[in-house]
Formats: sequence, C-alpha cells, structure tokens
Amino acid sequence: MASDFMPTPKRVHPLRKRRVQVAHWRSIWRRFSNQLSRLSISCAGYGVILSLLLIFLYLLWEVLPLLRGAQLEAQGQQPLAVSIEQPLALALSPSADLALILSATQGALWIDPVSGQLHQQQPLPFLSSAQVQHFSQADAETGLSAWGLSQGELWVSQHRFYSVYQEGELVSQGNVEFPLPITQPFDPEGRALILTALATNLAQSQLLLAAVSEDQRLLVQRWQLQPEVKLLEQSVQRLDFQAQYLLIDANLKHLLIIDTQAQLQVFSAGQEGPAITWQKQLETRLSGMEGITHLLRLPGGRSFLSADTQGQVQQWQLIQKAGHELSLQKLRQFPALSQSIQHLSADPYSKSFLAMDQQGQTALYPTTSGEEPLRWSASAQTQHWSFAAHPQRLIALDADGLTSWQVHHPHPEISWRTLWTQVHYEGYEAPAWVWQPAVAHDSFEPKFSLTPLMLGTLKTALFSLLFAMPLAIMAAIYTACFMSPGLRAWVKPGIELMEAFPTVIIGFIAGLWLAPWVEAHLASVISLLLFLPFAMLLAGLFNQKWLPKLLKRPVPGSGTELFILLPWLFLCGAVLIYCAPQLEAFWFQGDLGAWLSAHSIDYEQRNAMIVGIAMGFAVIPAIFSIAEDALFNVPRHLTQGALALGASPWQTVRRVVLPAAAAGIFSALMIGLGRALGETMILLMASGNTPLSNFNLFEGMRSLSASLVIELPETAVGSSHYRVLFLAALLLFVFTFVLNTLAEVVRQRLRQHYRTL
Amino acid sequence: MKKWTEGGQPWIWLSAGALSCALIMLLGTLGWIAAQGLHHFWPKPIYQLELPATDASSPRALSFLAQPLRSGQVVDQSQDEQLWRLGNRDLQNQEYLWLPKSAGAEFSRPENALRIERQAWGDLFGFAQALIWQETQEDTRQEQRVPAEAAEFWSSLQTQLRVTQALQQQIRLLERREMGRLNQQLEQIRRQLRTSASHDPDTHAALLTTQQQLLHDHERLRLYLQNLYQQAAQPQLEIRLAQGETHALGLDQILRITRPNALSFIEKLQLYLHNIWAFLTENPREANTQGGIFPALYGTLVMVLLMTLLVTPFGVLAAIYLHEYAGKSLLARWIRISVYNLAGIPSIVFGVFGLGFFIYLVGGQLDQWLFADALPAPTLGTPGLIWVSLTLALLTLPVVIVATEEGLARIPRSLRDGSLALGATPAETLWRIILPLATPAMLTGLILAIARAAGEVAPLMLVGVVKLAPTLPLDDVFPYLHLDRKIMHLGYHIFDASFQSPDPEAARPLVYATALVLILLILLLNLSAIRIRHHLRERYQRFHNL
Repeated sequence: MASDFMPTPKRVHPLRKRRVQVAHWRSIWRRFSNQLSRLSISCAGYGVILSLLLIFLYLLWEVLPLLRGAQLEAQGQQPLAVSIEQPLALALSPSADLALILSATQGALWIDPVSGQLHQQQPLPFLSSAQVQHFSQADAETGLSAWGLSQGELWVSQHRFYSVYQEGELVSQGNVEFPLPITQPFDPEGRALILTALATNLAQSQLLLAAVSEDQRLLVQRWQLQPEVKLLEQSVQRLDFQAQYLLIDANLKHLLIIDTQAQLQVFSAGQEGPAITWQKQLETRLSGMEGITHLLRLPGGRSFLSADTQGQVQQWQLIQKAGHELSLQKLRQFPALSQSIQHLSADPYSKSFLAMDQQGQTALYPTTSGEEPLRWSASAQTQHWSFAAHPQRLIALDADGLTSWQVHHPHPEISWRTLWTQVHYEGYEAPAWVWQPAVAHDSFEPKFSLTPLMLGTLKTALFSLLFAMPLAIMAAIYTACFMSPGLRAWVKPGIELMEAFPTVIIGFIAGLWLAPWVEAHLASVISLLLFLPFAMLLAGLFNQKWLPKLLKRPVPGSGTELFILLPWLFLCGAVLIYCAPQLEAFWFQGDLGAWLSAHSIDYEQRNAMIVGIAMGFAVIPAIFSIAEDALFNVPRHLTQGALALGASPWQTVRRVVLPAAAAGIFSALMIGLGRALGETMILLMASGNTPLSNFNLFEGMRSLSASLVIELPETAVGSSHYRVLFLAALLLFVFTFVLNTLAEVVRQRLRQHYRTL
Repeated sequence: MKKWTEGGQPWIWLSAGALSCALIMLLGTLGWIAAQGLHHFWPKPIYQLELPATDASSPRALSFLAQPLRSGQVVDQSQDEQLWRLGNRDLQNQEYLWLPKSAGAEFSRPENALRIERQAWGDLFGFAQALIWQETQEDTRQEQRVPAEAAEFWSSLQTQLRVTQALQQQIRLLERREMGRLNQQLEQIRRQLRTSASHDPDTHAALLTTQQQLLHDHERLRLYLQNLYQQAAQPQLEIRLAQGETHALGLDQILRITRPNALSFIEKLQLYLHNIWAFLTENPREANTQGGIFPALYGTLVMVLLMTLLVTPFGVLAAIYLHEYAGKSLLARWIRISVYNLAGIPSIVFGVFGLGFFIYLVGGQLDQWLFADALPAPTLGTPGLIWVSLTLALLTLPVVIVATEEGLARIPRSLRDGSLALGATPAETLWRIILPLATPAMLTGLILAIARAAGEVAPLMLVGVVKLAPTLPLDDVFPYLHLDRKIMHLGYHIFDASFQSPDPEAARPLVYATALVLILLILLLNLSAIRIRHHLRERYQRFHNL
C-alpha cells in the first residue's frame, strides 16, 4: 500500500508502467474516497446536530402562536341587496357563510354575507299587529331572543343554523322557530313591555323570562324546555324604581336590575307559601361607573360587563361567600376607550368581547387576561356586530351594508400574565393560580396558570434534593477519600448501576408500597430520620472507646466502617420501627394522625415527602457519581501534603479536598436538579397529581412533566391547551439544558484547574 | 472523646453511614422486588376454612377454600388480620377476604383440593367430582361420565384436556391466519371500491364479485369455527365447591389444573419453574391482572431492536464527525457540550416532540401521500411502533455519541500517527485502524442506549405504547414488521397493571415479577456494557505500553 506513494522512476518497464497507471487511478480513487468519507460523515454529523436543534425549534414553533397578539384583516364592505329597517340583531353562522338580521318591521332576513343577496325573508307573525318595545337575546349558542311588544305580549323566537350538503358542499341554512306556546299575554294587564331578558341554564333545560312593563311591574316566568315544554312558575310584582337594564344570572336564581340612578338591585327567587316571589337581596352601586350606557351578560352568565359614558368597561360578578351575604364584586377594569360606549358584544366562541364608542373607535378585548385590546376604528353608524368561529370572522352591520374582518386571535385566554400571575376568574372569590385546562362547557373559562405546575415541579426538586444531597455527597466523600481502592471498585459501579434503575419501578414501589406504609408508620419514619445519624455516631464512639484492642480502630482509609455500619444500621432501623409506637405514644399522645389534623396539617397519602424520598433515591446515583469523580480526582499531592503537615484525614478532606472539588460538587447538584425537574413516572405514580400551590411536606403536587403525560394525548392539536403544554415542555427543555450546560462548563473548568495544579 | 471529635472522626462515621444508607436502600429495594416477584410463583397450599356460625345475621357456618396472601391490619386497625384469596370470582360475591386471626376459623388442608386456572374469571378452588363428555360412535352420541373416585379419572381428564387444547390451537391458527387474511383482503377491497366507483365501472363490477366471493368464504369459515368452538366446549368437569354446591366447567375454559396440597417438594419446584416459564411466554389475561407478559417483553425487544438500527449509524457518524472533523473551535466546543447535555433533557420532552412532530406533522403528512384511501382513519398519523422507535432513537442518540466519542478519544495517538505516516489517507486511517478499535466503545454506547430505552416509559405513553395490543409488531403475516401497530412495553405494563388495574390485589405480585424481569434485563445490559468497557481499557493499556 505504502509503495503507491513512492516517487515514480524515470525509466520504466512496460509492466511496471501498467502498475503505475493503476496506482495513478488508485490514488485518485483514494483521494476521492477520502473526500467522500469526509463529506458523508460531516453530513451525518450536521444532520444529527440539526435534528437535535430541531427539537428546540419545533417546540418553540408550537408555542409562538400563544404569544402573538390579535390581528385584524379588513375583508371589505358589502352593500346589501335589500334595505334594512330597524335592525335589532345580527347573527352569523359558525362558518360565516350565512347571516341573519332580525328587524323590528321586516322579521327575519337571511342574507349571504359575501354577496349581500337576500336568501329568504321570514315574516314573524306578531310584527303585523304590535310594535316591538324591547328586544333581548340569550347566550348566542341558544339562538333565543325575546321580543317585548306594545300590548304586553312577549314572544320568544329561536333561530338555528344548520349545515346541509348541496352539490357536494356543506352549506349553512337556517330558520326561526317559536319554542314556547303563546296562550295568553305575558302581562295580563296588557301594558307595553319596556325591558326584557331571557336566559337558559347550562343544560338548556330551563328558560327564565323576565320583563318590566311600562308601569314598572316586574313579570317573571320560568319554563321547562326538556323533556317537554311547560310553564313552571310565574310571578308579578311592582318595582319602586325606574328600571333601565335587566339581566339574569347563570343559575337563573338572580335578576339584576339597574335603575336610572345607576343603582344595581338584585332580586332572588324565594318561596312564599305556594307562590314564588322575587325579593330584593342587594342594592349597591357599580362603583367607578359614570352614567351606564350598556350592560352585557357574558356567555354563561357568570359575570357581566358594564360600560359608561367615559369609555370605561368593567367586569362584575355576584358572589356569595360561605357564611356571607350576596355581594357584588368587580373582577377587573379594562383599558378604556376615549368616548361614551355605544356598543358591547361578546364573542361566543372565544373568551373576548368587543366595545365601540360613539365615534366608532372599536376595541377587541381578551376577557380573562384583561390586557390591552386590539383597537381600530369602524364606522360610527355601526348598529350591530357578530362573530363566527371558523374562520374567526367579525362582521358589522351599518346603514351601508355589512363590513367584515378576518380576526387572527386563536388564543385570547392566554397571555404571559394569565400564565404566571394570579387571575381573578369568574366564580372565584379572589385572584388565584389555577390549572384547570379542561372545562365542562364552552362558556366556562379555561384556567391556564402554569404557576401551580411550576411550583409542583420545584417542590419535588427541592424535597428530593433535600433527601438526596446529604446522602449522595457524604457517600461520595467517604468513597473517594476513605475507602480502599479494592472496595471502591465494587461500591462505585454498584451505586452507578442504580442510575439505570427504571423510574417506573421506583414510582410503583413509592406509590403502592412506600406511601401506604409511611402513612401507617409515620412515627417510624420520623424516628428513623432523627435517630439514624445518632446511631452512626454511636457506632463510631463505641468503636473508639470500648471495643477490645484487637478489633479496634480500623485503619483509616480502609472502609472498614462500612462493614460495621451496614449490619448496625440495619439493626437500629429495625429496632426503631419496632419501637415507634411507643415514641408516638410519648410525643403525640399515641396518634400522630390525630395530632396532625389537630394542628390542621393535611396529610395526603401520596405527598411531597414520598416523592422526595423516591426521587431522591433516583437522583442519588447521578449526584454521587459526579461528586465522587470530582473528589477523587483532586491531585494526590495536595492531600498528601496536608496529611504530611499533620492534618487529620477529616481535616484534610474539609480544608483541602472539599474546597478544591467544590465546583465539581456544585455541578453534580445541578445534574441532580436537572434530573429531578424532568422526572415523570415517579411523579405520575407517587405525587397524587393535584395542582396545588404550596410547599407543604405532607401534601401532593402536580408537576409539569406529569401534566404533559396525562393531558397531552387528549388535547386537540393546535388548541390553547395543546400549545400551553408545549410551552411546559419547552420550559423543561430550557431549564434542564441551562442547568446541564452550567454543570458541564463548571466541570470542564475544574478539569483544567486540576491539570494546572 | 475530645480527641475523637477534634480529629473529625464523627464526620467520617456520618459519611460512612450515608453510604451505608444508600447501599441498604439499593439492596433493600432490589431484594424486596426479587422476593416479592419470585415468591408469587411458588405453589401455595389451599386451606379449607370453616368459620363457626357467629351471630344471628350469619347463622350458617361458612366454609371456604382459600390461599393465604398477606397479613396486615386493614379492616380493623386494632388486630392482626390475614388476607385470603377465595377465588371463584363468578360464583361468590367476594374474591378476597380479610379475616381476623382471632376469628376462630378452623383450618385444614384437603389433599385433593384443586386450583383451576381459567381463561376468564380468575382461579377456581374446589374438588373434582366427575368428568363428562360425549363420544360419537357410529352416529350415536353417548355420554361418558367418569367420577373422581374412579382410577382412570386423572388419565381421562388429561386426555380430554389435551384434545380440547389441540382443538383450541387449531381455532387460534385458523382465526389468526385464515380469518386475518380474509379480513385484510376485504378491507383492501372496501378501500378500492370507494375510489373505483366513480372511475371505472368494469373494475368496480369485478371488485364487487371478488367481495362477494370473499364474504362467502368468510361465512363458511365462521361456521366451521363455530362448530369447532362447540366441540371444544363440550367436555365438562363437574366441580364441588367448598360450600357443597356443584358447578360444571367446560374444559375449554381450563388452562391448568393443579393439586397444590398433594405436591411433593420436587413437584412444587417443577411447577414453580413452569410457572415462571409460563409467565414469560403467555399472553396476559383479565385486563393484565393474570397470565404472562409475553407481548410486553416481545414489544420491548422489537422496539429496542428497531431503535438500535436507527440510532447506530447516526450516532456513530455524528461521534466521528465531532471527534475527527469538527475541530477545536469555540463553536465546536459548544456543539459538543450541547450534544452531551441532550442526554440530560427530560425524556418526556422527547415524547412531546415525538407526538407533535413525528406523529401529527410527519405521520399526518405521510398519511396524505401514501394512505389517502384510508383517511380519515389515520395509518401513520397515530401513535405506533415506528414513532416509538424513532423517539427513543433520538432520546438515546446523545448516549451513543458520548460513548463512541469517548472510545475514539481513548485510542492512542501513536496508532493514528503511525497509519498516517505510512501514507494512509485520513479516511483509510479512520475506517481501517480507528473504527475497528473503537467498536467496543460503540457497543458500550449501544448497550447503554438499549438499557436506557428499555427502562423509559413516560415518552412512550405519548407515542405508541398501549395497555393491551391485540397483535404483535413482528409476526408471520405479510409485511411481517408492522410499523404502524401499537405495542406493549414492560415498563408501561408495570404502570398500567399497578395503577389502572381493576383488581390491584391480583395484579400486585405480577407487577413485582414484571419489575424483576425489567430490572434483570437492564442489569444484564449494563453489566455487559461495563464488561466491554473494562476489556477495552485493558486493550488500550497494552497499546500504551508499546
């Protein structure tokens, strides 16, 4: 082979010439293959590095849409083919291809919002004989509207959108129905109804109708819608004030009335003999509101919005704290518009609403976060707004026709603040960190606070390090500094093997064996933690003082202590567990469980202590291995120098070895912390998985990693929940990556430092 | 005393104590798992419990056949109790019983008490009464009945059991092979029919004919199987329960009949080994609370093998790149640190990546291109074997890279210099000199990767491991390796059987046994990695001494 590279002689034998030629081709081939190999290996190398980088980029790519603000894209204005008189409401089918306009004179007009053509005009029977005095709507998903008429009649209409296949395409169609039988006028006295309100409960099985007549009487009817339509109760009573706005709460239990003095009066249903009456429960002001211009029940009815002449919008809820009277609570104040607010409209498909002032300044607010809205200016003549879900569309009706916008705001319920700070959710007494991503109904607020999960993760890491750190580092000190090389060759790989212990097994033992055992033997565990160190010292003292000369004083550095301690500690442990009931009787009057509950300490079977022990067990090998390496690799001449100067072995360790290896021990702890942060199975099986935000040793927690494994398979791709979980994964990635990098850099520095010593 | 504390002796003892604690915990856990896991297979005696009539509410004396499980203080915290397993889940209203030790029960160990392991409903404890089967001779059916007292009872029971089991074997084969093939073809035709209807009327008609033919075959096979099932269910064993009533049990329900009280030590040992073997080779039954772990073991192995095939070339090439070509620049140093650190990234993050990127993005796209006719049912856009293996390959890539690079770094410089000095190109040096020497290092890396992969559970729960997979990922049906199938896995089996089981009491010993198998597998892998690494070091020691 080597001869191929020899200089070619000048005169050559023909046979030799042939060989030279071959050699020439071979050298070309060799050069080529060298390049090829270099190229392919580099490609593979880059490929691997890029694919690992891809993990980070992909996670980031899934998370970014969460933090993108709202965007609006104007779709243009479409004049309508018919002129609309006195429009009362505008509704849009979920796929935005059919619009319904309810008019006080023309009835229901079904319109194609793209072309502006009239599909169908559906006259409503009552419009010919009476005038509409007041019109109101229930939650958009029900399609229910109440028409308060001049002769004391109240009609309830229900519009529905449905999809049909037409020539292979899904097309929306709709119609208007009247779900309630009209037997007699709503107001027996036949006075005009100047205020109406209606709402259904969550299951849409009950309907509450309320109206105020022109002579200030409050009329209420409760209807059952399913399984059959029937009237459940009705009542009439006189009001002693001028009502201006009327709302119904979520459980159909309270009526909220605002009078012309901007006073809020809350009436609650109560039984009085056989009759139902509505009694005043609360009278209060909406503080901070100057001249209310609009009141809007948010979907679900758990809270409502008020707007005033100053351009302010506030969110309120009625709340009844345990043992307290009903009260009004301000949830939040939204960034104000500059002029008096003309219009409020809630998006039924996502947690946001729209407000418009009298100059046409419009803002789309995210409800839960209460953050800065998306502002733009629309026509001041706009009368009605409506929303569609797919695509996210916003449509406005004014005198010239329909104007539509494409909205890009898929995750209005998420903002940096709702993820981390306390948020005052609907139905909650105070701002709180809540992780409750899956909700029973679309009208509930999903609660995406990562803080409880983050705290859960940190709590586990903290308790597991508290357990593992002393054990692992002390064990590393002993193995590195005091153990004979022969024994060390067995012990070190032995403990390192523990690292390969599948965590699912540790989790299983912790969750199914350790947790119930500790619950039954809490006193034993506490006495083990307290007395085992004393048992170790006792063994040392005994060995020093009273053992016969023959057996006494194992040579320092031989590791003999281990052989004394192993059986001794085992024995002590057994004795302590056996004696624990006596200790319990002595300290806690015989029942630790009762003592704990008497001191109002909650004890859950799967708690932070169990997780700490189990996870500590899992991270001990990692910490031990790296710390031991750092300690063992402290240059020999340093320790020998110290010993030669008369320091005792432990003084040498404390003053020379530990300071030299401190960086290595730090890096070991970082690695241990990284493992504890990302561990999943132990937490899944032994932590109880309740998202609590506290550091109580005897309560459980839910971590980021366990949430990922439980929730991710069940989320819809691209939903807010899905993206928040990806954010959790990204956080885990970044945390552990930073910790590990820190540890690695420290370790490399240390290695160089040793080399220079 | 003062001298003792001044010299820092207490600290030495404390550190030794910490190490002892760690060792006790490690050995204790291992020992506990081994004891619990192995203990389960030892045939336990069956006791007959006679409970005296205590009060007016239970005037009748009760009699049970039961096996002791464990003792504790569960129902009544003040006294010691023993947990008994009564079996006969379908015949009695309770399968387990905590009985106070002071309840005054009388125990006996009837010699001929039977433990019958059944296909469904768990074990049955009772006494044999008679064997009944029908024999067809010259068109006349004759009922045969052999009472338990008869001398030939056990031999005819064995014969009948063997006949039934042969029938069941035949049924299984027919179902898996013939029925499976027919179903596959029907499914294929159904898909073709969906597309061909609008395109080509001739093909459409032909397909319809074939479909008719196949449906006909399917029906014939179904009837034949039905007949076989009836044949298998025909012989019956009459059992007398402890309370006295009798119960007829079809032999097709019976997996194994033992008489634990009549066994000698040697027979018990045989049965013990047989039980362990059955645990490793049988399918799980009764929602993973009984039977074996074969599909989980098999799934783990297939998954790990596939992962090895994926991770080896890339891991090794990336390590070579980092060591040979990346150089020593700051960027290269950072890349190296980053790659090392990926070994410390939580595995669940890889699972999330696998689910989002591999399954939803890549799998979904592949479905659009390759399996459009099956949509909207996803083929590759759903968790499955290929994604499990890919995710694990990504997860273990850093392990392989680190180990291989370490091996490359250990190769003495002199060898490389020598090769280059003799005129070899860098590529030749690499492929002929360095790589062969680094093979053991790569092997070490691979084994460590396999050990890590075998013990990993959390990411797998996202990308394709399920509690019960009806089919194996690698079998004798074309295309043999089914990349889209979901698999079972030992680690997940442990999680599922211990935490999501309908019968935790029955599942617990099996979980310990499964855990033991998993630990042994991983220990074996790790120990062999250590072995190889050790050999490697000695080998280079030799080169250094040259």
